[in-house]
Amino acid sequence: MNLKFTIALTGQPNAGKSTLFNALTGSRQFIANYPGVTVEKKTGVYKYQDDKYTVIDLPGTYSLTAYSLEERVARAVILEEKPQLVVHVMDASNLSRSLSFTFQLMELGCPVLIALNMIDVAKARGIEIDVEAFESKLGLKVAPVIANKSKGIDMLKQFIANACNANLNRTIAFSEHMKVDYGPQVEAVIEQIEKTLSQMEELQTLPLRWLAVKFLENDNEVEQLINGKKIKNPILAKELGDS
Amino acid sequence: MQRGGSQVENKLSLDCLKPGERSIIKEIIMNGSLSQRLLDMGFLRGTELEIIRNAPFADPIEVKIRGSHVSLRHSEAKLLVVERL
Repeated sequence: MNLKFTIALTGQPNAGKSTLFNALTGSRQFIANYPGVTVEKKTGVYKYQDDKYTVIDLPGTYSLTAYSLEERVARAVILEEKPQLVVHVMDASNLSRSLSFTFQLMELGCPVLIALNMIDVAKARGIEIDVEAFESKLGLKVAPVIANKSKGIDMLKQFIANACNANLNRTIAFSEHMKVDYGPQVEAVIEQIEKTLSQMEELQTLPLRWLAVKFLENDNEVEQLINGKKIKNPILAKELGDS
Repeated sequence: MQRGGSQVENKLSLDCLKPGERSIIKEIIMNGSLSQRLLDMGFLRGTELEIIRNAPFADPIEVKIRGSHVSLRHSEAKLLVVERL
């Protein structure tokens, strides 16, 4: 078929993104066993079933706020380059810390697939993960891998191919398959802000609900973005004053 | 470090605890990037902490939270109000 896809590897520092990047693309990117080694985005390519996949290795981040450079790089790539798929590389031995990041990705509205890395380490710590139950709870596809031993890579490539091909006919830039419920009071404000934002043409390529949530979080970049589009809107100001 | 050493408004802060002591987070008195980072690490109200090591005069304090070890500065630990278990 000779299609071209772009996928992004994302996740928390030291989850094994770069190791997985190398396992996928066969490149020899520098890996060290301490967090924060990948500071800029790097790309590599692999072929699978005649299709070409460009892999972006993003810097490890604990979340997707605007507080640090790595986080801004990571989310800018996801928002602006709109990869067909975002692969969340998760440390299987530390799931609870990684899950908040999963939800942030889902909130961004991008298609997410989980590469559950280091399942051998988790096992050694007595952690056995029920992948099927995990998948159905999240509504996401989960591929268990051991990146440094190149285990599970074929299955992951298959999952990536399936997801990318399924997204081929996506007409809207961002899907809305998952929503964190912030409770009636906050939801009402989010809805109001979203409504206001929906009237601004320049913002329509971005996930509006996400923008609204970040605006409420006083996210610097989102505030600048909104204000930059000359939306010093009295409604927004009022909404925030009321909340 | 004596019990109840430095406190925030008479509340017990994390930097007052000794190695081996377990506590529960009651309040996080900070905002911005610092609170975001701690939230990302799983520091939420009601979360259990255990002091692993505590350098009394020099940083850092090592705590165990949700199965992982996190090092904090004394200045940061001062802003975590806890209750001993």
